[in-house]
Amino acid sequence: MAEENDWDIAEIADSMLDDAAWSAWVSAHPEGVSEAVLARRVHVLLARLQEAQITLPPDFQTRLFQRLQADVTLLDVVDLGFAGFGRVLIELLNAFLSVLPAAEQQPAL
Amino acid sequence: MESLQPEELVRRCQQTLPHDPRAFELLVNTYQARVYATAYRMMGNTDDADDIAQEVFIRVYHGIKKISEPAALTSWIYQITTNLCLDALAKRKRRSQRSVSTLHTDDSDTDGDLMPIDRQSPTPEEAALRRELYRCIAATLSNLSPIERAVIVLRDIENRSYQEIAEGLTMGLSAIKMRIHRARLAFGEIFVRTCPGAWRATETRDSSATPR
Repeated sequence: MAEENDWDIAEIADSMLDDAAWSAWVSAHPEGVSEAVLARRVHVLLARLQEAQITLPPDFQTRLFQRLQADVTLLDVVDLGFAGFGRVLIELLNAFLSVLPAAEQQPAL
Repeated sequence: MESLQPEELVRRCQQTLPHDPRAFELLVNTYQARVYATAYRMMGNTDDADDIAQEVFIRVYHGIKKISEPAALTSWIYQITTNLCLDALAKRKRRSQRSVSTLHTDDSDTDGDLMPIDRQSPTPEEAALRRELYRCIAATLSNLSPIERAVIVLRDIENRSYQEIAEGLTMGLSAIKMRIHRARLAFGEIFVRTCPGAWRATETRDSSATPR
């Protein structure tokens, strides 16, 4: 089957064509009929699973918010850690600079 | 439960996070069932679906302040979900290629409970046949490539539009249609080979499905 016809078949497999439209398509693409029929059968088979009820685990949201809370708390700790580190660094610099001999005052001219 | 348009949800989350989580709770309530269902259908088991759905909302939480198109919230969330599933499926595929060089013929990666709840109280024989059919579907899905599985799940099971799938996977429309068609053919070929009896059983039931 030529690649340029693939997209046509995908849509044809999705929809039930009326007799006239199907006949027109078959005469235009006789080589694609078997693929279209197979694709349609797969589409119909899988569409049955649309009815499946998929149940969210009951504690899903509780666990999600616990994780988010832990993330936020960790970020806060890191954030505070950086802020604390910055403060300590500034205090050390201040202390270091304070013990350096003061620069001699240049006499005013 | 209050229901808001995506733009409004995004606006409220951007204004209130991280101090007030109520808007984000509303967002989670709005999308959690759909995100989990998509992840479950793509991954085929509850553990992976749960991990992925949790990760989706964590990414949404951390990314929502930067979202540039609030109206595209829904497609953004589905895009994250699809991409996380594709990554996880690719990792799973690599693991299985390392450990087993042959095709899966069972549904060991799946819970096998993708099947609809039977509301018509079939006979035990009918129920067994249906169980076998859905086991075959799950096993066949697990043998497709990640992208084949993704497009076929999104189109045929989730009934998403071609446009939506193309946007989610950042591919062109005609490329997506081609992928979907090829994925259906691949599914059909594997299903016929691995479950010929179940395939024949669908023939009579789905005979009206011939596109005509």
